[in-house]
Amino acid sequence: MSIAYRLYRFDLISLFIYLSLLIISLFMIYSVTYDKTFPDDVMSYDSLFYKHLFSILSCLLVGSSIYLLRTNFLLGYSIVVYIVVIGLLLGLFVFGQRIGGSQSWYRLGNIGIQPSELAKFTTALLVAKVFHENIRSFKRKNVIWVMVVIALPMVLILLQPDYGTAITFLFLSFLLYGRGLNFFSFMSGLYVIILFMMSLIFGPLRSILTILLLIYLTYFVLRMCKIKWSKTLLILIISCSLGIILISGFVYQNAFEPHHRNRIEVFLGLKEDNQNIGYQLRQSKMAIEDGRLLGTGFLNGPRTLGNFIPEQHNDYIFTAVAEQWGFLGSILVVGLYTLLIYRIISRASLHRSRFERTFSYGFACFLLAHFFINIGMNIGIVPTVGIPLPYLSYGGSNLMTFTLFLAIYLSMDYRRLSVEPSGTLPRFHPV
Amino acid sequence: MTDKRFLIAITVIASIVLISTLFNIQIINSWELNYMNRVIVGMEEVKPERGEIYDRNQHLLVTNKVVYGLMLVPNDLEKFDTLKFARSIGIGKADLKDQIQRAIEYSPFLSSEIRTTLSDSASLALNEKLWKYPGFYLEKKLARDYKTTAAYGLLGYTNEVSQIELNQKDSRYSLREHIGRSGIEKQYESQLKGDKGLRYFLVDKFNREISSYGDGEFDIPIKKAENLTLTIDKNLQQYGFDLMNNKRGAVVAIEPRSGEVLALVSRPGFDSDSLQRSNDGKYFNSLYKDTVNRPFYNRALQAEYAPGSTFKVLNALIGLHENIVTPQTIYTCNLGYQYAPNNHMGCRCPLGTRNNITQSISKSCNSYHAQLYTKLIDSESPPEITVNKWNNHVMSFGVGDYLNYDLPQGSSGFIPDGEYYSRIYGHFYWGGSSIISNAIGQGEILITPIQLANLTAAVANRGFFYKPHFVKKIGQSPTRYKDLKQITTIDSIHFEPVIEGMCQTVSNGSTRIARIHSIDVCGKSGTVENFISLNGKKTQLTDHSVFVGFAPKDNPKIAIAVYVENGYWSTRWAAPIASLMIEKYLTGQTQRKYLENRMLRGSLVAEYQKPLLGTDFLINQ
Repeated sequence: MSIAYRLYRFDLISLFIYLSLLIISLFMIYSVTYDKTFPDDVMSYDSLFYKHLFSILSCLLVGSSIYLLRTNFLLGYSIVVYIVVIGLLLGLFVFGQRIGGSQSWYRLGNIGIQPSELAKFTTALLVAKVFHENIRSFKRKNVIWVMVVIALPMVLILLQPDYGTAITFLFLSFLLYGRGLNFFSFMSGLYVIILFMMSLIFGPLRSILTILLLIYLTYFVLRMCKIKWSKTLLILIISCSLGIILISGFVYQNAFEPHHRNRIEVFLGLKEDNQNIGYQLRQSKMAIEDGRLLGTGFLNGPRTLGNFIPEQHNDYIFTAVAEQWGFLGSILVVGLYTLLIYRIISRASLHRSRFERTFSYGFACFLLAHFFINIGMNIGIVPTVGIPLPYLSYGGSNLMTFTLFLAIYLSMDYRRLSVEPSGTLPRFHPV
Repeated sequence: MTDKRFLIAITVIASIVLISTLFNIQIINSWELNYMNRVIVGMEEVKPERGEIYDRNQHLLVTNKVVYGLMLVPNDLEKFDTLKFARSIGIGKADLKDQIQRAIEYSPFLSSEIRTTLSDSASLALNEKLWKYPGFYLEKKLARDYKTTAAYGLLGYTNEVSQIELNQKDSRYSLREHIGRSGIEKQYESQLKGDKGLRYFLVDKFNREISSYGDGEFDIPIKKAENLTLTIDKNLQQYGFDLMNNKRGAVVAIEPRSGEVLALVSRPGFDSDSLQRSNDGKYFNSLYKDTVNRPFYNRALQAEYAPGSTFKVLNALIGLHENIVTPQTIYTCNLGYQYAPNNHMGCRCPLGTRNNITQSISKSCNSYHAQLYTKLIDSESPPEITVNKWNNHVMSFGVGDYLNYDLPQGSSGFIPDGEYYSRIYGHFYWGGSSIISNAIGQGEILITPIQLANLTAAVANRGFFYKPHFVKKIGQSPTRYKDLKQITTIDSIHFEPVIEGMCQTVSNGSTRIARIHSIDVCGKSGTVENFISLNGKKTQLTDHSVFVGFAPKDNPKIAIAVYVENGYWSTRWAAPIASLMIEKYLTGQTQRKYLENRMLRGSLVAEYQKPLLGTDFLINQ
């Protein structure tokens, strides 16, 4: 095979996006670590920047070696690694280290390992396997299986409790779209969430009135357009809406922990909070706002320099981009992610094998979840849940997981044209 | 492939939502983008140090120093030896306990002031053993450092700005800042103070400074305080101050060719350093309530005295100018002058002395001047006209005027005019003989020592003077007083006989004690009768001793007026002091140590006590 052909087959753009995100990440971690009073401290060996550089280098190393793996190895061992990770998640309750209220870390000397990050990878693998093994007949039974596979790690993570990571698993359910999950059920899920939020913000009475008014208006408009609704559906919608609004208060009071209620209330603007989450959100919004169009310039962002934003190197790394590089920098980062996800989805759809396709979709789903929730939480359109921004945030486990994802995606993508559909033994192709 | 489209749709929707929100936040949001209103930018006042004051020879007079105030955080207090501590800071034990109680009432956690400023020795000593007294700490602050003790009346004093001044609209002061209260410190407050600037800087989350904000483009630069160069000669000032030891009175020395005040002594005075340290106003009150010595009363600027015989110089000049007398005119002195039936003005000349105008000055002949003055006033009728003419001449010498000099204190003195006398005596019911006291500088005339010195300078200049002033340079730019030349109404040709008379006064006339070897001193003595109201009775006190003079005769470099209250003869106090100061200024040293010692040690305290003792006393001993 000529080099040109190899390069044509290889998804260079995704790799390029990955590498540029890593470079942006290095810049941002540098700026977050940078201290104007002690400028030399950034370069000391125990600084965040150095640790991050180290984890990036080790991820590149691990990623390139994973790239060489054959996919049928993964197909065969997906159930094993899934069980191992579930075991690790269970082991957390005994050996785990409690950091920041949740017991989600193993500590091996200086290195912390977060099994919930690895669980994303293994879950995506197993879901892909379930899809793969039911190519011909995808029944309701299989949907339930997929749900169980997703729910098991999710529940374990919820028990840690680490709600942010758990929520990202929900995004895997997008894979069920067209197989048990259609547009209607997706929209009704969204509708339920909106109703829930409305009743919290405006209270039940006003929400009911608003909803009735809206339904009446819609009904009226549709009548004008000569589209007829069945009366049963109308009554069903109205009664369901009323029911949801009425029970939402009770559910809200009983299903959530006080500090989550707190976060949700702050997010919904029901509560003024200038100290914890509110402070973080306020600072992050102000930092993003201060960036304006062109940004304050690298190493010149007052809020980044002043360490105003708690956990900026982690979940709030996007504020550093938005502040220092402004709207253009933000668009760049958002655009890179969108392009990467688009690229993964569109190239994944070319796979003939269900396993590879579903796995890549799963990767895209997780990436989308992190990307949307993290940036959304930075700019205040999503409630604050602690999840990092893949490739940009500081943190080895997350970076490693998503590097594994990418490496396997690239590997599968490269072999797409040369291998038989999964199930048969592919030939080994060293690159 | 439906799931592909679905996933892409969700991704695109998500990124559109994010980008539009980002666009809203970063580009079109309605938040006021003003760093100043946010916590992120710190602000600091940058205060310029108060300007320094130098004398005419660049000797430092006033600069700044660090003093310490004693502060207390009551919550940190532990048991301690109150008596020992109170002693070490120089207050009573009860006072200290009272202060601590007040501090506790104010706030247990905030620091309160126990002493505004400690004395230098107390703060030094306390600094070492302050660890024994937890809760107390010393606060560093800037205060004025007066390098000379002789010029307090002139320099004034500063102290911390009051709450009222702080609350004033557009107040330029901040807490604990010093403000000039009198003298140069008050007059040149805006130049000495400068203007505080503002500095903005970025802070981190702990409110620590990270860097300057916006490269300082929003900063308000400080206006640096200007250093002042005074016209005062430090050595002369100190010498005059010493010579006036234990006497009440004033010395004003002026450089005639520029109007620069070389020395301005007023005694008794106050201690600016103690005033700025004043913790509870005790020292201020002790000065303020001293109605006998009146330390805040700047005698050189504010005291209105009768000029006495020194005024004869002016009357002689007016007589010459108005052609009442010529230099050749001779009046005979018959032990005085019978100016009205049963009214005789005494004179110390021997019987039958014939004096021309020069001799009348040198011998200080009362009868010559009485005759001159009556002739002057009665030369036209009604006398209002001539009195007004006389008043006009006198006023042209800067007498009866505030002089517009650059110190915040002063008096105008008083020179009567025709209307004044008509009001007292009625029209046509008075004439030259009614106001004959003016001829010899008694009567209604009131004059301040600085006016007297200024008058002398005008005479020394032969007919003009520059407004007296105290500041030579503000920063590097000279003041414009030199432009304000005032020309008197007397023609310059009339000055020579009078100046000759003044010269003879010192060389062989009434004040030979003022003679200085190798320098032609011109002078005029004065012995001023004065009265006070004692228990409702007009009581005469010992005469004031006055001397005005200038030297050298040609090209005068110094004009001086000395006024010693109740000093009796001019030759006893005023003339020697003036003479010594002239010598000191012109030669840099004094030859006549015996005279100097007499002046330095001489005290008039006993004289000043006489009317206060409540017993009968003798005057003019």
